[in-house]
Amino acid sequence: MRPAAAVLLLLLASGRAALAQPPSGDPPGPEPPKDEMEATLDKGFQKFQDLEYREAIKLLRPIRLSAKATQAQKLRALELTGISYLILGDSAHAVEAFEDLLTIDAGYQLKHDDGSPKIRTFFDDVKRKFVPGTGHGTDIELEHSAPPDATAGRPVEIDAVVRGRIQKVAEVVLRWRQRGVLTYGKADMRRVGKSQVGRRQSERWRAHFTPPGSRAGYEVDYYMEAKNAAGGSIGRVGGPETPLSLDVRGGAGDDDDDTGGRPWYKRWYVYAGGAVVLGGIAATAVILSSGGDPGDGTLDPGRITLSP
Amino acid sequence: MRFLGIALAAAGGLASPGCGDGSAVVIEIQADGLTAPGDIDAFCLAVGDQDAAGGEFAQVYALGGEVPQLPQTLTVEPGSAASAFAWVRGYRTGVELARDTAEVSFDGGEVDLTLSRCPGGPGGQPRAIADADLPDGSLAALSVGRTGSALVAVGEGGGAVLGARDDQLAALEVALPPAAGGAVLDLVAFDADGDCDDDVLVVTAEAPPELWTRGADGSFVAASGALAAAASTAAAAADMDGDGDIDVALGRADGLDIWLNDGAGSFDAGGAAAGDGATDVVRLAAGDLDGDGAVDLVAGRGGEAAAPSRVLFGDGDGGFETAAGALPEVPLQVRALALRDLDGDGFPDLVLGGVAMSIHFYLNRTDGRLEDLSFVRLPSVDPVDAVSIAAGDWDGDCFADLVIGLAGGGEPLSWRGSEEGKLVEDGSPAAAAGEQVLFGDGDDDGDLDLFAIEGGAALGWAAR
Repeated sequence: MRPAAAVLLLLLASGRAALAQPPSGDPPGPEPPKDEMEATLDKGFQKFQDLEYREAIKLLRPIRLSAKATQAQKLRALELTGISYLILGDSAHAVEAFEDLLTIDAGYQLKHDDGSPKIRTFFDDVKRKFVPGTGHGTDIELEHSAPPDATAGRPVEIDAVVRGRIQKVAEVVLRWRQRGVLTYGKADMRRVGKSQVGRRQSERWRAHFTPPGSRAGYEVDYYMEAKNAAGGSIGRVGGPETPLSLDVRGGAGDDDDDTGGRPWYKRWYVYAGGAVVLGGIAATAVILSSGGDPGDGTLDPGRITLSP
Repeated sequence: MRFLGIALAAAGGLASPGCGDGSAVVIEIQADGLTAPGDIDAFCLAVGDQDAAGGEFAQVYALGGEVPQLPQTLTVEPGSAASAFAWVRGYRTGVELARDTAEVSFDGGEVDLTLSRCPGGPGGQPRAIADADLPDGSLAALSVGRTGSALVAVGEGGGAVLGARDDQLAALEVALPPAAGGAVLDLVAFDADGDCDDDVLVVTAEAPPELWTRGADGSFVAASGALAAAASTAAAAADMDGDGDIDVALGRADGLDIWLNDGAGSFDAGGAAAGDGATDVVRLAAGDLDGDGAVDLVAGRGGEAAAPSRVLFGDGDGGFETAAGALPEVPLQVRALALRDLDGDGFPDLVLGGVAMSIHFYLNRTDGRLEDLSFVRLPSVDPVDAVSIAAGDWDGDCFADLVIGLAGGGEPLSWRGSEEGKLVEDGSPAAAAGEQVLFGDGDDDGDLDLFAIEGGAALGWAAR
């Protein structure tokens, strides 16, 4: 396996792992025990999974109305409620629930629709009417890849892969914040590649940001959003109220000096950097002399000649 | 890695880089949404010069040993090849779970072949693409090889190979053995000789099954003596003895025989099937029902009178034992069945159809027990006369859809998969009519097409 492929696989795998974790918008500190609201939400979700939609709606109603519920909890309750109403054939109440949801988060994307085209179409329709600039059905999927963790003060690279009708995507942005901070900062993503297999098109976007230096570990909340030319949100991974999280290990702060007072030319990264530069020169020389030969593959026999 | 099959036509082999006009390309094989190893236990990679006189490389790789995981790469020098066709097929117990194909232009780039759980697709309403005439009484199967995918149709009146390209169904000028043996009862496409392309097993009413192997130019020749079996009614192909090649189960009214492949496309009656599941066999399907890594069989029964269908659990060594409790003891006259994961848990579920019966949906409880959830999961339990079932993700939403061909032809039932394995009425016609229905990527564009045969002789092609 070539290094680039290995890195990409790692990123994708870790990205999925991060996505699988429950989103969190909680204040800083250790995970709190599940409160009553969360327990009710879980019960409602269980009823939803058991196809007992009326029971689910009944259980989730207090969360929708509660002043104590977090925005993330309300969003989840509203989504489950809206889908439940829709499955029960009560479109009017489904619209009401989805509109309440979009009032909290206009760019929200359903998480429990299980890919059902009927539910997605219905939700997109509500969104189009309710949120200006959304446009017609988006037909794009946004998937992200991130490292499993990061180090304070060191850059982090995060990728987003847009699939489907990529020509609709004018911009992808990454928004992030140190947990506990109210507002998100923005990191513009840039296109780094495009591919097409059959009719499937995909486009890779990439962003870098540097979490603040700190000796203590913390967490970063982030989400990504694809926008159309009108600035409407047409795809999201996470959201402001339901962000993804990245563990940040404690590292050297801006004012730290972990070099032991050695002069700059004796520091480890100077040697490492020098080695990388020399290695790059050597590799470039090899590549130039071999006419850009890609090297052998990882599968036996590594390289074949098709028609000698 | 087990070295299971290799074909280096035209004395292909290792060579120094830089020969020929084109540049070497790297073919990367990756998995998307499927664990490898895990969901996939082996894959077959092939690349062939699009000039039939050129070379071809094909090899089966077992995952988990010397090839520990995906992605993997292979560098291909063109030599004198101007262009090539590459494909990969991902297997679990010899049953294909995913495939991908790509044109190779030798421009120095990279070719990605992805074994995807959800290959996606354009979605939208089905639309009719093209139609064509077939020999009378035809059944059809899709075969992939170095000339791309082709539809092989065999009927009492002969056979035909058709290419689905540029929105046209065109008969290909390739050789095909004469069809003999009366009505064609089953047609199974699988890689019999380890060269990654699909050969075809033709099961007829009055003659022993015949294996037709696919050649470099897309023609087929009868492999005489490859399979000395009795006339049969149904067939299924899978790796039944765990040796990496694909074996064959052949069912008939009074028996079910397991024919083990020597890896080169020659079969011996080395396996055995026991219990009443090995009698009165009308339809067969293979898959790892209980997740033990050994392939199992489902026998649809009831040729003359209704009989319960059976699950036969495999021992991984070519032996099969009927498990009477795995399926509800409901006598049916089955004429069509499909094994396919419909609820996304990675275990194949079962759909049955037959004479004057409702379509039955059996959910796999992940241990091979199949529970009848027809009433809960299907949009209709009205009795119909089903003769064929196509199962696959036709609308690109990652849920398996069903198209069910009915006796007498006409509009098939079209049900779309939705959340948690429920099927819903599509609400739009399938855009191809006929009693025999088949899903497959006929035009190699990465998504499924529907092929339907009306009256045994009129082929329709529909896509979304």
